[in-house]
Amino acid sequence: MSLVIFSQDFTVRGFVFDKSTGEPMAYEKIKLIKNTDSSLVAGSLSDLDGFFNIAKIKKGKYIIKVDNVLYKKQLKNIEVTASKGILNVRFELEKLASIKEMDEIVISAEARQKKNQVLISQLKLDQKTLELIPSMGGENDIVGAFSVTPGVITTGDQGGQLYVRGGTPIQNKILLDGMTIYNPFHSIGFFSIFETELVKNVDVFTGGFDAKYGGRISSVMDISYRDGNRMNFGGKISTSPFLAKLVLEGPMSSTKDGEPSVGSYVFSAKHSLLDYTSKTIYPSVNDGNGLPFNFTDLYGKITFNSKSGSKFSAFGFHNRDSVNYNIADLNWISSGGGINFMLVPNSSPILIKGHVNGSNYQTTFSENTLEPRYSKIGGFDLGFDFTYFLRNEGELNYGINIGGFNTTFVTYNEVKRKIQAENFTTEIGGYVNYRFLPGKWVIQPSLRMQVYASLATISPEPRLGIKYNAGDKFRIKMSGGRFSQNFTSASSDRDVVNLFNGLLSAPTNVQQSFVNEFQQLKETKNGLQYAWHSILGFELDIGKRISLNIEGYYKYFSQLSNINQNKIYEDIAEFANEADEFKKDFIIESGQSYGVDVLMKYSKNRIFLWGVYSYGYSTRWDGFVSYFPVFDRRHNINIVGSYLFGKNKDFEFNLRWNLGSGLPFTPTSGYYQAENFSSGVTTDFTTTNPQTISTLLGDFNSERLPYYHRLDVTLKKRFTFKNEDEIELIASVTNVYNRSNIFYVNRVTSEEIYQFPILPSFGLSYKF
Amino acid sequence: MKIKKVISFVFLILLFFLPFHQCKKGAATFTLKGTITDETLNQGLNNAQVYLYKVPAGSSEKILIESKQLDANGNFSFSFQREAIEKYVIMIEKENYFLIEEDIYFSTLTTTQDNIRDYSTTAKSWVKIKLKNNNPQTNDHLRYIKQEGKVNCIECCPSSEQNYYGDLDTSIYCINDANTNYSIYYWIIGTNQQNLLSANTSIFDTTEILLNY
Repeated sequence: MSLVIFSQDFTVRGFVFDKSTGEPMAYEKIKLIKNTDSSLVAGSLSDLDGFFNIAKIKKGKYIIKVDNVLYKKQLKNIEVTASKGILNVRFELEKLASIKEMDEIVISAEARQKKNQVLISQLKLDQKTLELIPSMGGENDIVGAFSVTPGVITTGDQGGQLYVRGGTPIQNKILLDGMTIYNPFHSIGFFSIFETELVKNVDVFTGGFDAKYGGRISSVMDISYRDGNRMNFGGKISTSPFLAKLVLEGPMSSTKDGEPSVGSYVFSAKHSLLDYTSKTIYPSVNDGNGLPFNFTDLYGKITFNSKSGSKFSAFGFHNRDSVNYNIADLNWISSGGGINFMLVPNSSPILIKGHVNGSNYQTTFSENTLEPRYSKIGGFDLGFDFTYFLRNEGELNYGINIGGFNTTFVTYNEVKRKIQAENFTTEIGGYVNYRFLPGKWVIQPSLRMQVYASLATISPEPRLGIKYNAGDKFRIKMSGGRFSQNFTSASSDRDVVNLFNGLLSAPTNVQQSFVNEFQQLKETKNGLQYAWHSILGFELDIGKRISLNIEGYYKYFSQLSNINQNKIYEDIAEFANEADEFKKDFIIESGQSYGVDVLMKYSKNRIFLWGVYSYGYSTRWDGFVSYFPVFDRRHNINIVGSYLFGKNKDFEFNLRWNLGSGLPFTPTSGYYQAENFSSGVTTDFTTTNPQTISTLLGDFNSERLPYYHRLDVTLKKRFTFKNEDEIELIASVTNVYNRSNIFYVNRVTSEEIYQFPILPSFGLSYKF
Repeated sequence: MKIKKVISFVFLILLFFLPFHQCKKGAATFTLKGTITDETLNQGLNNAQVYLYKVPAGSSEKILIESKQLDANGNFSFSFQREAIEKYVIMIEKENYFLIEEDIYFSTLTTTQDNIRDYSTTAKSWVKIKLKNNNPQTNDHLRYIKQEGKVNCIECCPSSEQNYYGDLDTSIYCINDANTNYSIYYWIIGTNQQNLLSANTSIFDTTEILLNY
């Protein structure tokens, strides 16, 4: 029988490029049709590198074509004569002159994958989509897109971090071209280290992701940058009161006869201007002290392409960030680099991708009265991924990853004793991921084996994704699995605003046993974190314009590690009788999160609407009681709208409105005079009048802040010159109706400190 | 055909979510059980009051959780919520019996099975040591030391040497485990007079040891 199957083992594969830039075109639909009766034989979607593969074709004559309304149609006649072999096809699509790029808001890539990929808890974004979401100062940033993703909660305007479906920021994996970014967000909270102009694709997984991804238990944000233009030199300069940036790209050598250059480069730089501008322009912010944020981002990449489509690229980056409040200074520096390659072997129907990268991250926090504390991580990562293409757009991929990390954490306790932890860890991950499409089903089982070598622990992580195409417009999907991670945050989950984002390897100084909320006693061997996800969802297309996606999820965090805030005894023999919960540096917790995320999208010619409603319920169990974590937001609504107008559709109006129910806080239950007993036991407390007041706190996180809501708008006007250069003017207003959202309340004076007030801004960019 | 598929899908969903609907949720409970033995009568202590306190971490305040009476055989049983507590203190009180007060550290308790803690106590009895100097001289010196009898209790008489000088006519009451011996050894310093005096103290009663010199 196997002979029969092998007798049809013919593959047609190739790449789709944009002729004008030499850039690969992702998510293009490729169709293989019969020469004789024009019936569809098979189809495929190009991947991020423009690569497509149609496997298991019988002998015969075919036409292969790519359809894209913005490009000239391209057909190629092919004839399969051999029963085995590979045929390479290359498409170079030419843009239609009559159609301007911004004419229509292009249908998102995920629309094309709806039927043959599970696509659960996954959001695909490209540069265009990122630009639809208003951001500070009119500077579009990935942060804006993350914060409107279903299931994602941000806790504030300044120093806000992302909490995904009950997971903490340390549980989010952020990847840039396969490299883990330890801190992707600048302290101001509005800007990431990423350059929107270079973003080719962002996959945001809010849960249930397949075994390709490991090492984090909550979410994955996988960002891919595009390569430089292989035909022409180009770039972009832009400025606003927030920052100035520059992007340059072009071919490495001169291009001949319309053939793209073998090599290309891209470079980007971003620098904040808030130091110079914020005190004058925004006198109402932070009592006239402006926004004390300062950052610089640099990124560069060179890419070499072979004729066959194989590719090699090398990149480097450097990020710096600092905040200077009156009482505290915080800064972090991160730098690194790596290489990525893709091989398309001539004789084998396989695709090989590999990466090697290394980076360093250090964050330092100093307060007036205390010694500076810092957290450092250095690491490398080496990985290979192999993909086999199967019948009916099925796929088998597997890979291996080896990473080594060195973490250092230095802090001082109240008696100025230095506490230092240094760790070397090795992580090895291997995965197999299989997707097949029997009938109306898409079934994707996968397995990851995550080896924590230094902890002598192996975590088997089965994952499963299933989709059932119940009809043309209705799809049911589900996914789930087990996830594990090594890293623990150097700051407590209980802190509301956290600028100090250090990482630690899984602590070993944890309690020996843990009683979970189901009253089960668990032995704890180490401080690794584990979670189970299970998600059930529906997709419904209402007409061509509206799509609805509803997902319910349940996450069980069976083991979480956290800095122990109840530590009162040293972990020494003298206190042998005391429970671990009161003397270990880290405690084990568990948690549950469930909720429903609803996403509705509407797109029509000039209008794009995006509405998200998220209901979430998160609790944490500290071994004794359940409590609401600081990010437990019951209701969260995000509305994004975009409208193109003007004769040439050269005006664009964007808005974003966010409404979030109140986050929990710990109420003050009373005050008392803080007697300092200056004369020891003979102090006459009946006559002294202490100058300071102390607070008695109520139950942890038992009350709720008022609702948070904010409206941001952006208006853009584009001027296009004959040589296709573009100038864009951007006016934006953050917090349009000046809502006073609580940042924090001074417990002694009851003074309310608010998040950002109304912040108008104006920006200018020139693209050439 | 279609119905079969729908059913199989629903089944899959159930399979997915079922593991999460486990046993009851919330705080775990400790069960503390034990028997208090009356060592004097060699039986369970009955009609005694048992108190259970908790001491929060970093505090020295004892907070009463529950108090109840021991059953006729001296058994007790408590079920209480597992909390962030440094230790528990159990106290058993009965008139004319020695008080039991024991620390039970949180770290020694388990939720998976009953925690058994057995304690024992003894009935009280007293000895009246009557010291009488029949022919007092100013440089008379009596020294005695406890040889047998209850030690290490708050109410106990000291175990160290006791010295008395000159005129003496007094009685010292010392507590003792019932039905056991209480003995002292004494010396009249400067003479050959020394001896062991002993008495068996009977339950709830006072027995006299007379020291005449």
